[in-house]
Amino acid sequence: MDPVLALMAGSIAALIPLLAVMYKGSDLDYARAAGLISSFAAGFVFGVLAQLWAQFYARFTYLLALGLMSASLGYSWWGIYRRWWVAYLFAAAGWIYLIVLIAAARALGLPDPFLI
Amino acid sequence: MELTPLLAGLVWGLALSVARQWAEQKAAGRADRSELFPDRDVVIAFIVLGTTANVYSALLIASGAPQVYARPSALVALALVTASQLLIFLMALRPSRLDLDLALAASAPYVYLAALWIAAQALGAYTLWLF
Repeated sequence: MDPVLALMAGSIAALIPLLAVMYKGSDLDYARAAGLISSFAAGFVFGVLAQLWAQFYARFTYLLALGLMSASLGYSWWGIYRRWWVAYLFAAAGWIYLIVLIAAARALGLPDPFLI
Repeated sequence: MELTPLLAGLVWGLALSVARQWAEQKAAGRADRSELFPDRDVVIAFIVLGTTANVYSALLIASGAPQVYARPSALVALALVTASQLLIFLMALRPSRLDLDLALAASAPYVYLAALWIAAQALGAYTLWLF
């Protein structure tokens, strides 16, 4: 797993909506800045997960995590586009799912968070 | 294709095009940007794609180090790519009406590489660095 690749995935996920907003000449307010941070984090985690493909592609929880992180990225971009901060709550669903998985794996003493 | 230099070039190109938006806003003030810089959409695409291509080909050429530095044709290619990236910096940080002319000049390394490739095909050479 290469963290530089994941950092670049997060930067791309945050720079594309920033470029679109600045191209249209709209102003950057707090709702949009929060969306930029949220999409950077979603892209970073998506990049980390995508590099684990060869190890975990047969696990249902792993595929669900990939799908939820891409949905998080989509909700973050939608929140930037519509300036709708509630979208970031929906984006947090992917985070909550991953945190629950990691906590469950810790509690059960499993070597990786993807249970089934 | 290598993923890391490609993504690095893409990140750098997106950052430069964001810088270009900021420079346009600063230059235009309250005036209409699309009237002042009529080709800004094309310029953004060129900054992103050109920077990606430049970073990727610079890293690709330099990946043959140190043997590749003995070939003047490879040194010319590296110099042209660097000059092209400097022109793209100029386009990003100082928006002007000459943007498209600068973009044309910034495409020079790819004309050179295409000529080298055609010559290599014609000569049946295994390397792009002919001289």
